[in-house]
Amino acid sequence: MKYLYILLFSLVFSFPAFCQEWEMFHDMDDLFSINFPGKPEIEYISYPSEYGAVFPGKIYSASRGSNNFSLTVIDYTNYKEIHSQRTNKTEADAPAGYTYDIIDVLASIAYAASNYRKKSKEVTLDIWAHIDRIPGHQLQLTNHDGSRSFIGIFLHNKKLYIADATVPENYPPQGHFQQSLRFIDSNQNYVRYDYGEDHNTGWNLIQQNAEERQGWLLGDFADIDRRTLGD
Amino acid sequence: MKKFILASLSALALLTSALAHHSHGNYEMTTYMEMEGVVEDLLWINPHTWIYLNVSNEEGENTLWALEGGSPNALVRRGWARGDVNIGDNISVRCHHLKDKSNGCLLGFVKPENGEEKEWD
Repeated sequence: MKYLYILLFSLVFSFPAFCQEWEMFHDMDDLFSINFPGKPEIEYISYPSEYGAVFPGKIYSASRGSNNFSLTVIDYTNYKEIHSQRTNKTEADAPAGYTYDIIDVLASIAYAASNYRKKSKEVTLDIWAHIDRIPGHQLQLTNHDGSRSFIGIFLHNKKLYIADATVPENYPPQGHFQQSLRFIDSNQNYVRYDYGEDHNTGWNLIQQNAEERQGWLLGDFADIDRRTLGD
Repeated sequence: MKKFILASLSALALLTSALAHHSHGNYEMTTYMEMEGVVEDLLWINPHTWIYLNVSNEEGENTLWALEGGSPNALVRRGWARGDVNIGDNISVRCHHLKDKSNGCLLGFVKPENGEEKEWD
């Protein structure tokens, strides 16, 4: 009987740890996959943009002990409509012909990064980054309470993705959260780009065709990804 | 011959970089650091594997390091099997340190206690 109690005790107290195993989470509304410690909670938010509009967003979040992981997705898809319907316009803030609506989307990575810098105590890493050639920004921060945040910010198909792993002081870096982010198309394929022509404004991105993408996926991610996405 | 080897290594480095899932600007890519420690946790997951390594210094203080590796399939192609490195194993590694000097590193190479060093990328 004593052993039964020990067994039950072990099962009860090991269960939370078991539940927190890392697993790939994918979302076909916001078209991404990322690894979370268990199934994330989803919170619907309103996100004030740099240029005075408010965009809809979601925060996917999960914790592991005192480590917090979140992916915020801000939907800029209806940027023209949302900007045209702003009720907080002033005579001064929208000169004729100036496209704040497009600029708001293009500036969204820089704006999100700027907000993180402002609220941190120290920025220890501040660099351009990409995931599958989709450009973005990466930050490593020390916060005022001593905790550390590892941030990846990317813009794809007019959606802004902000991966945030925040851990207590002296915990090892949590790059594995932001580095696991990937983007999916509506056909449940991972999106990956190649660099195209060198224009004066930079290189355009060309989405890899099915064969190239398959080669990449089968070469590296194959079984688990296909099974997960095919569910 | 030396030129050929250097050219081959450069081509390999470029190829690896071209195929990478994400940028590596957060790591010191031109240098390796070496460490030895005990595997605290091993995440054999896509798109990257992660080893959490407990490293002791001369004063006996322990520091936990997060080491980023290649995908499971990439490791299998390099001759690794899932059970080759386990929690509690003593291993030595060569990896690219995070630029902000925190305890993170991009693998690199792994050498199990009684095994041969191979790429874990």
